[in-house]
Amino acid sequence: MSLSIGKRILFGFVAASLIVALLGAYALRQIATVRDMTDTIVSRDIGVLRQLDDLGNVSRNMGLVRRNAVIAVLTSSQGSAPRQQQDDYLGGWRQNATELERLLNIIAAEVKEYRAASISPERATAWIRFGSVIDEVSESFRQVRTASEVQLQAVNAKDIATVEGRNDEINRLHDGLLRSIGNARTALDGVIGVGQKSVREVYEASRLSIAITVIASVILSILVTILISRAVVRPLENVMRFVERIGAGDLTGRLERTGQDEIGRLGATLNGMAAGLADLARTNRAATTDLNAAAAEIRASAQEQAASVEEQFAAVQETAATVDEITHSGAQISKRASEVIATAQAAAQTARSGLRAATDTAKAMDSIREQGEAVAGNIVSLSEKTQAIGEIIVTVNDISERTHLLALNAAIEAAAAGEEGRSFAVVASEMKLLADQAKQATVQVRGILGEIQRGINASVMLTEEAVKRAAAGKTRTDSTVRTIEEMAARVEEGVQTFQQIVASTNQQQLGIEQVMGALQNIRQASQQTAAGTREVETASANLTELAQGLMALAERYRL
Amino acid sequence: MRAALEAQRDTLLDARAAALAARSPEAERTVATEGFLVCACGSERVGLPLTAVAGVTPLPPCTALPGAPTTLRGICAMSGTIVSVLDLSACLGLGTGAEDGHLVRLRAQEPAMALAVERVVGIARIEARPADSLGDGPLLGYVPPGSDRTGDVRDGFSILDLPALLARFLT
Repeated sequence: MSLSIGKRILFGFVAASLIVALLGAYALRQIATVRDMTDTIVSRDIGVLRQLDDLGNVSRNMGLVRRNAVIAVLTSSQGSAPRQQQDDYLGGWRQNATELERLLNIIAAEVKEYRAASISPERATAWIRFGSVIDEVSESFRQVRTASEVQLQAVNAKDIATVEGRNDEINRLHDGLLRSIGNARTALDGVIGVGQKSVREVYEASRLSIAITVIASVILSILVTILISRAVVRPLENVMRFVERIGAGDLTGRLERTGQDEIGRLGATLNGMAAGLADLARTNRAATTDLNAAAAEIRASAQEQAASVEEQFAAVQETAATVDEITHSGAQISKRASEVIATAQAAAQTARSGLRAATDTAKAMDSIREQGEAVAGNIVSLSEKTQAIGEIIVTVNDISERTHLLALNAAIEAAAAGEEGRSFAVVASEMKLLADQAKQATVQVRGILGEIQRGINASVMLTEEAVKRAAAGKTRTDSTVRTIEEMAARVEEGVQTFQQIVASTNQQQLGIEQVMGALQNIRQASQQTAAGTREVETASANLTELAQGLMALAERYRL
Repeated sequence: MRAALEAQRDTLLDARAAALAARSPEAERTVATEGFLVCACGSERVGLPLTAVAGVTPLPPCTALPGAPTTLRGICAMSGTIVSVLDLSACLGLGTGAEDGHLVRLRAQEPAMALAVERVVGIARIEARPADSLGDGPLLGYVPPGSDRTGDVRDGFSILDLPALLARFLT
């Protein structure tokens, strides 16, 4: 059954409430029964009792009327008495008798009715007994009525003897009637007693039944409680044992899944929690191991730091000595810088004279260039003249060529002339020789002219090179002038720089004094750091112990 | 340099004067010689019989003839006659000759003929003509160097068989 715990408890409460409601309804019904019975008995008995009282009163009134009539008759027999009064006695008496008879009939009818609708047999028996008594009363009343009727008629007839003769009997009968009425009251008391007894019995029965019902409901409630306990408490006890195991450090166990109710969900949640705790414990164990290692490392680092601080302290001492040396060096730097300033000023003066010399050199270079250009112009004109010579030589060559041919033709003509032309042939041969020699001379002149041309070209090139070099020299001299100017400016800047260096060195001296003070502070700080490092070492030792304690705690958990 | 040139010129003129003043030993001997006009065709020297030569002129511009062989350079007008110009280098199988050479006019040819040569070197006189022919070309023989009696032509030269050449051309 997979009812939830809330539904089970609700079901139990509903069952108990139903039982209590049924019990209350039953008790109310019993109380109503008792009250109805009591009401019935009281209304019947009291009504009958009142009618009995009326019966007694009416019977006494009858006795009184009759006695007054007898007294009046007896009195009138000795005197005179109005007749009218005798008629009134008989009418009153008859009225009373009729009333009495009516009452008796009513009572008899009621007794018959109540006997039939009696609550209990005892009460029916009592009612029967009361009815017989009432019958006796009726019998006595009939006797009294008959006798009294006769006496009263005798009264009316003024028959004193009859009246007196019957008076004792009638008195006795009347007393019997009154006694019967008294018996009827006694019987009614019995009926009342039986009614009270019935009421008590009904009350007792109701009380007993209510008590039994209460006991039954208590037992039922206990049963419901036990059932709820079985349904709720036992699984809860399992869960509590599981939780106790978890509390003791056993994270290995798991709850079995019992159902979809709250316990089942609680079990699933607790399983998840146990798994989470196991993970947490594992993580915790690993973290604690790491913490232990880290604490050991911190301790080692603290020890190394202590050593470093001591080295730092020694380094600070060395630094202080070095700074002292720097102070002396700064003073020397200042002195040397002053000397350098003097030297640089001398260098600046030298640069100015160098500048003048370089300017003169530039001017000289300019004049060299101009002269070189003039030489080049002369060479060019010379070259033009050699060109003219070359043209002349071409003309001479042409002439010699023509002469050559002319000489040949002359020789041919001489040969054609035969012996007569022999002398002409000699002349022609000489002409040809001259022409050849002239041609050779022109060839030589042409070669010499070529050499001259080459020389002129070389001279022109050399002159141009000289002009170029002069221009380059001018350029270089200009750049030299600029360089010397820049050098002078740099030297001036150098002088200023060295003056600044001197000023800076002075400031440096002041700064180094501050550095000395700072080093003193660093020394004190190093001592404090050493003390702090020792504390850190102690704290890391404590941390290591703590980590080992944590590891022991973490070992408690069985995973 | 100028002094050196002047000294060379003086030396040359002195040598010329001495040579002209002296009597040459060859002139004393009257030996029958034959004259040849020696012409240069490329590296070859060719000698033409002096009697067949009418004159030497610079090579004038020639008018080429359509359909003519390479040996006929063309025709040109000379002294009122039309002269056929033969390229001697081409005729000898030495390649085409230069454009600005010399023209050697020949005598008594019909039509008038001239030979274009690279240059006319000079006139050589030799004592005896070699009789043997050189192969099947239009050359009659070879004159060794130093054969010139006048000393004008120092190199050796081949003697051209002019009638054979002209006959080959005219046919």
